[in-house]
Amino acid sequence: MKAKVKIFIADDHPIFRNGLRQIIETDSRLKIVGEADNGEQAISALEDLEVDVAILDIDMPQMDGFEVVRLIKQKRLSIEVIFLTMHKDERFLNTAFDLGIKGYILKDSAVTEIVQCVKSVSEGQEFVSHQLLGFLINRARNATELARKQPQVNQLTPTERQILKLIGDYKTSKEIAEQMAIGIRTVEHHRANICEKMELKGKHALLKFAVEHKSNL
Amino acid sequence: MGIVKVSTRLISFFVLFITLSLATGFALDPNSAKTLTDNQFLKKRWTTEEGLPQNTITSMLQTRDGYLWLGTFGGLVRFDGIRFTIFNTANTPALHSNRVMALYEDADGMLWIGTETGDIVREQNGSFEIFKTGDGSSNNVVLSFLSDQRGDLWVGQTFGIWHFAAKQSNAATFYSFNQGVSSIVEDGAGDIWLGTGGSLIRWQNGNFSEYQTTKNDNIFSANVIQKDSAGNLWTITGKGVGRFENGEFKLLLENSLNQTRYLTAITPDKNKQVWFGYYESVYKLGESGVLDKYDLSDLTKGGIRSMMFDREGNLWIGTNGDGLIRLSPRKIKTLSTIDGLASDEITTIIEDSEGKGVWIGGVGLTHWQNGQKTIYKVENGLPANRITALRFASDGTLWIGTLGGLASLKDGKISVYPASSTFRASVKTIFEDSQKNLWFGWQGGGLELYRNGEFKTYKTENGLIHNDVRFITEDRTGQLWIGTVGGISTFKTICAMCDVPESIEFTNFNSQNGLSNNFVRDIYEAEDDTFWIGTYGGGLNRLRNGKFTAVTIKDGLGDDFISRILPDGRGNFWLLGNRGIFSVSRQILNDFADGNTQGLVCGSYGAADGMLSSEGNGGNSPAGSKMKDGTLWFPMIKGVTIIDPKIIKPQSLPVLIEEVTLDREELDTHSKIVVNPGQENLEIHYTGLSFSKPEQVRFRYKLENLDTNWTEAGTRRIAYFPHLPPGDYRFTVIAANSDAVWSDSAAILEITVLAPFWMRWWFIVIVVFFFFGLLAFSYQFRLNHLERRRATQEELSRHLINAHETERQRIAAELHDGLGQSLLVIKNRSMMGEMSATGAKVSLEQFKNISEAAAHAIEEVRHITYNLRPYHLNRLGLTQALEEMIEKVADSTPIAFENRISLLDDTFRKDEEVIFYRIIQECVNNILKHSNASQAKIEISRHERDIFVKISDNGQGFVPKEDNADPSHKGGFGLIGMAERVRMLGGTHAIESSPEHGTTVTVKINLSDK
Repeated sequence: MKAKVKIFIADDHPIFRNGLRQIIETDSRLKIVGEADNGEQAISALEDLEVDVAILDIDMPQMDGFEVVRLIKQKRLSIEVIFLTMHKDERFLNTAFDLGIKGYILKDSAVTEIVQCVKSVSEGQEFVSHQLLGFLINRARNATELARKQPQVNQLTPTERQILKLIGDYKTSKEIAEQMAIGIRTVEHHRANICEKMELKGKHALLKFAVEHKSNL
Repeated sequence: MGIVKVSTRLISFFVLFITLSLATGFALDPNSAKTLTDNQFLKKRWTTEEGLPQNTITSMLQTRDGYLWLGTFGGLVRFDGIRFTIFNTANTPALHSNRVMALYEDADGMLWIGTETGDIVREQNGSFEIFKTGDGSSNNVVLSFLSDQRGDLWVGQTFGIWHFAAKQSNAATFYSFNQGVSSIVEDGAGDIWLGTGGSLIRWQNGNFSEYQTTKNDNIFSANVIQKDSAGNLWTITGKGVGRFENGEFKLLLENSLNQTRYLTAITPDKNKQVWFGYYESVYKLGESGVLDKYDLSDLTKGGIRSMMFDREGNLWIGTNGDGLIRLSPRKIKTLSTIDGLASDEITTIIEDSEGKGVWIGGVGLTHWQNGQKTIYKVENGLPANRITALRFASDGTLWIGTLGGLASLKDGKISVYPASSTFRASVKTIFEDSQKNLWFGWQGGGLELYRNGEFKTYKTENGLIHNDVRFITEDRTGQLWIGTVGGISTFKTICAMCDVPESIEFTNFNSQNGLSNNFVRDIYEAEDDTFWIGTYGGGLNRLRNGKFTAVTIKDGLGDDFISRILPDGRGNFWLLGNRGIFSVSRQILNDFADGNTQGLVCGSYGAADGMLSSEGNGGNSPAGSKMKDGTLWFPMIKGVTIIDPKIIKPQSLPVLIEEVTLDREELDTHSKIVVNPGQENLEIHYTGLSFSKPEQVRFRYKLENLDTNWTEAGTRRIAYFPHLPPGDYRFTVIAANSDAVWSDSAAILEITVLAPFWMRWWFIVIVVFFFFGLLAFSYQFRLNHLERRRATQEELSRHLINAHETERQRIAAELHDGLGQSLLVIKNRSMMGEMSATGAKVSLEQFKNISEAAAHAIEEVRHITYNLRPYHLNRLGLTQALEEMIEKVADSTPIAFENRISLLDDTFRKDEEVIFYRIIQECVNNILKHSNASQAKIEISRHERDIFVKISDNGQGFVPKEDNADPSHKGGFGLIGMAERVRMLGGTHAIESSPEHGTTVTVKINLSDK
């Protein structure tokens, strides 16, 4: 028997949290190990607790879901994150996926989708609410379009793609180096390679490209 | 009185011998001395009546500045010919006695004053100081001064002489004599000579010794000693008048009357003649030995006390108790019945054509030749005694006009021309022209031509301007000029060979042509094609280039009645008028007529100059003639006046500022006059020092910087300047003497009128600064006020906008967190209910309905929340929020949006981000709502120091109003809100809009103050 999936819930609405707990706890393989009602509590708890999947609301006091995710990534916590949010928003979805989130479900359909989502995510699969599938298709199409418009994208190595994404998140070379645990000279080297492959010239061309296409890489 | 004794007790008797040569002398009784007549001198006397403080003049001198100084027993007097200025113990602290005994001017121009009390006082530039105080006793009366070539000062006193080394009062030696030292002179060798009561004393080689001639004849026992301008020493002694020659005094004039009389003063004049006063007479001893006497007994009984010549040659005589007398050399000669003329009233004068003297018409005709006279009257064959015209014809005939008709005199024979049928009162003028025609002008009878024994008359009916003809002359072109009582007629003279014409074509001039008066008495043609016309009542007229210009009394001419114009060949006209004879420079007349000078000054001669009458007698012709010797002879109501024009000489006439008063307070005339604010009435008293006819000295002055022209002051000696405006001025005054000769020097006074403080430059500067300061202040104040108001308004707007935003956020949060969550719960619960297997089908259906309704409500909440507050802003940053907003808009409209947005995250504070967002949103909404555009472009670029926004569309545009605060404007609150928001971010914006080019909104936000 597989170990129970340890779940952490962060949401600032107690009633909704309660409902969510009831639903999750109906499944015996899922176990809620902690709860928080704001972002800051959440990140500190996540650091202490052993959590497999964190279900985070995006709108939270003190620190929003995006920020919590960034910190999780920064702290290299091996936690999968699911955004459970009211925002039916393509931009949020893209941003979330750019941040490496695996699940994005709307609170509207939490009852029906959360358990499946947690399971999928805990198994390394991505899951989004069915209402958002259209956005996901857009995203894929955009990536394809980019690849078609700029076939060079396919030449980028995974490391280069990751660096490009981080550039798109307005990270400096130093920040990228820290996050990827590589030397700053290496980052510079990768940037140069990216520019060469993508035929980017000029000071801001790389940054602009990265920002425009980070969701499509 | 000791001093009087010393200076007057000189000679007992006089027998006056004239020593023609030094070897042979002869005596002359002074009573037989030739008496000088009034023809040589004019005399005038001033006494206390005329302003002298006292009538005894002890001493006198003319200082180099030109003033006459008089010592009297009533103080020291300064005289300018008109005014006596008195310095006495009352007004001059340095003077301790009013009895001034001696005066002297040294080489430095210092005036030395000796008093009866022994004080030695000196004066320079109007300030007096005591040099040495006497003991007040009569033993120390100061009698004489000398400053010698070494600069030492000698002061003669009652019983000796002071010798001051180089005029230092503290280094003095007194030499005692038992006689008063009344005069001191230095000879060329540097010896000092003292005239004393007893003997002549000489200072030689540091010693005094009594002078003796080589004959030791002791003739020089009582002395006055003087030096003349040539350096000769003269003395008057008990024996006579002596002169120092070849090392020894020689007696020139021996006193042989053996009478005890006083000889008072001796004055050598410029011509090496010596003048001395002897009781009440003045004697002149000429070098040729002639002794002239001039009797003053009508003017003085007390006798002569002091004498001197001034620089103009006037002899001044101070008397004992009878005041001051001036003897002026007579410049004008006269002839009258005293001299043997037929009458005192003179009508015409003409020089003999053969140089044999002068013919003088009056009541009877006198031929005057070298004092010999021949008189012609009715008894000698003249038609009448009264002569009205004289003229020599070229054949030597003297034509004589009389009140009774015409006569001629040739070779001593008088011919009378019988009266013709025409009316003939008297011939007023006779003229022979260049064609030898004789012309007669008749009083009332017209013009008559006489040729070859025939007379022909031309009158007004023939074109003559008037029948009363007074003057006829011919110009160089052969034109005859007829002066009448009614104007001037001219015509071309009739040639000698031509027949006598029946009528003549006259060209006439009168007052209608500009002549100042029609009564013409003389016409003079000058060399410069100019005619000068003397009129009876209209002054002098100049006719040049057909234009008459009058000069009259008001212009400075001596008279408006000009009967005769005689040029003197020296550039002057001499004019015979009713009020006298006048001289005037022809150049000045022309300058005046040309408008180059404002006024003119005439020399004026009359009774004061010794003329028997000032009134000219100008009704006949010629009324005066210039003789070959250059003298001018004029007929007067009484006598002939003979003037030698050479009497007019350039003469130095010192002009001085005497006194300056400001609001009646006297100021120092030697320094610059400063008029302070509040002081107003400036009076300048000036004087011109001419002593010949001081009452005729004329002045003109100019205050430079105020006047451009000279002010003709006439004889006025005060200039008044009330209320001078602030500034620097120079007062210049010049003077002309009685001959109208202007001084070449001027008296100058610098005057500064200070502006009151409110007219000074610094005050004006301060006021101007103050004014501008005030202006700037009030402007700043107003600006601040507006700024405050604006700030308040902005604050309010900001507050409103912020409050609005906060409220939206609050509502959005409430909706999202409250209502939204509740709805979510409802939806999920209903979904749970729906999923529950236990429920009835109806219930399940209900759950489904509830779930769907909740989903709908949730969607609504989402929509409302988003509209209230773009949640992307907080979560994804400004850039994405803007992109999202624009995308949303773009998705909902056919307008093609193109956007280029720089990264703006972390550029603004959170509260500012919303504001910026709203600005862009407003622009986008406006495009959406109003533009009807097909394309829109949004550029937001971030630069190092600012953010630049350009949002443009290709829509229909609108007309942006300057005053976009008008809420009725199409943009309404949207644009106002946008403007307010831009201002809140510290930015500027501009809206350009036109139907052709759509609308472009630009916003620039400066980041440097972020």
